Amino acid sequence: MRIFPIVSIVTFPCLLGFGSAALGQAPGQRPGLEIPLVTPGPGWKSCPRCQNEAHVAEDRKKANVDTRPFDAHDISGVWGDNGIALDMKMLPPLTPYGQKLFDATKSDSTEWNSKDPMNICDPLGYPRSFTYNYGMEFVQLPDRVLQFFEWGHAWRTIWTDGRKLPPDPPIYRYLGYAVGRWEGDTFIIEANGFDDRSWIVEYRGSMGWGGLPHTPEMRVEERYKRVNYGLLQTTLTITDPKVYSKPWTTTGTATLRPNAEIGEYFCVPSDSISFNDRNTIPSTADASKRR
Amino acid sequence: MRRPMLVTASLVAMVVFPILNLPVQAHHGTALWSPDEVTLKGTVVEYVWRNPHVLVIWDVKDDKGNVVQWTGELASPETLMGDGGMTKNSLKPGDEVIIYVRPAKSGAPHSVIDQIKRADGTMVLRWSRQAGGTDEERAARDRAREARDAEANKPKN
Repeated sequence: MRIFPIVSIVTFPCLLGFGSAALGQAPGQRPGLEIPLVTPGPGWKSCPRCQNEAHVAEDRKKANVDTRPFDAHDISGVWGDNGIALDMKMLPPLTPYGQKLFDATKSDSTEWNSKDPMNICDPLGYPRSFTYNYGMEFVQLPDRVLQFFEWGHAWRTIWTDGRKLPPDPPIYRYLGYAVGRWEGDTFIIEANGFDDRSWIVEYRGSMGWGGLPHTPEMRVEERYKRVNYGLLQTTLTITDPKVYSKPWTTTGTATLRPNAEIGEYFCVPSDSISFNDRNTIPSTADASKRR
Repeated sequence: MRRPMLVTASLVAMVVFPILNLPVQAHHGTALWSPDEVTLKGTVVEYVWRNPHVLVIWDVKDDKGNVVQWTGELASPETLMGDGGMTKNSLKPGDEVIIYVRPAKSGAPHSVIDQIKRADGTMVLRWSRQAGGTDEERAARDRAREARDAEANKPKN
């Protein structure tokens, strides 16, 4: 009974102090870049897309990302602001069945990609979220790694508790089923069970304008290696023999955003449809081609 | 009906010049937009600070008093904050503005916006990622625009 007032006397000013530190800075403002080292900490940070190239360069310099000591088995942090593009030079020839699937995605307009699931906020799925995400964050927990994507404000769970991929996934998922393990300093993710309504990536090239397809049998393997505090090396391999004549591998890098935190970029269907109706479709030569 | 609308709008165009760096955008790419930038003075009717892309709707009056209502898209609110401090309060209905756009090729009064100024020349948004290019390319477009405007405003001998 006597402890309570004493605790209150001690904690009340502390809470006040914390409150003013946390609330003194409005979201998105950048007075002084006070917390450059890790994303958590008092004060609201910029979202990855809320920064321009100069902001990012300033943050990374202030955090000494190139020389800062790091734990090679810790890939947590906010990486990049727009995903890692797939290596289109390595795109394998499509099988006849794959070509048929691609043809079904082709736009019915030459002016916009009319069948892109993104237009109506269908989930991007995986690995499209790897390639287009407005910022990606890894969070490591004892039994799993969480991968957050700012675009669509979605997360993917990569289980590290020793379970195996389901041999016959009961329900296909846009982000699939994923398990992870460490081999040396490389974190390896294997995934399957993908819902085939998602595209791997938007495609515009010699085959036309649409999206590269996959089947539910697609498997994705990723390798992540933190080569320094601020740089993540990535390798992603897509294997789907019904669609692609051989595995398709992309290597790339993602840079740490030391003073950014994931915001809230929901893709809201009603907003997206309204936007399309108000500017995209009326801009087209044939405005009657409505999705 | 559409072509005359663009012609009408073009009458108030202060400058027209090609933008060389055409970006790849989400949703619809740049196939919709003319490479030639047009400057449109007018009055803000609506400002939609919302995903997936911020919209500005404004009325443009020509010399004869005919009003054409234009719609222009910008990037997402998040991206615009990075582009140069545009906020939910940057525009309101009734604001007099000068907006640099790439209009729809179709001739419809729809566009992608690259720069917004107030009628007194105050900068609202220097450049927009939605209009494409790297930061340096966008800055170069802005410098070219300033040089053009300075040239246009030079006193005639």
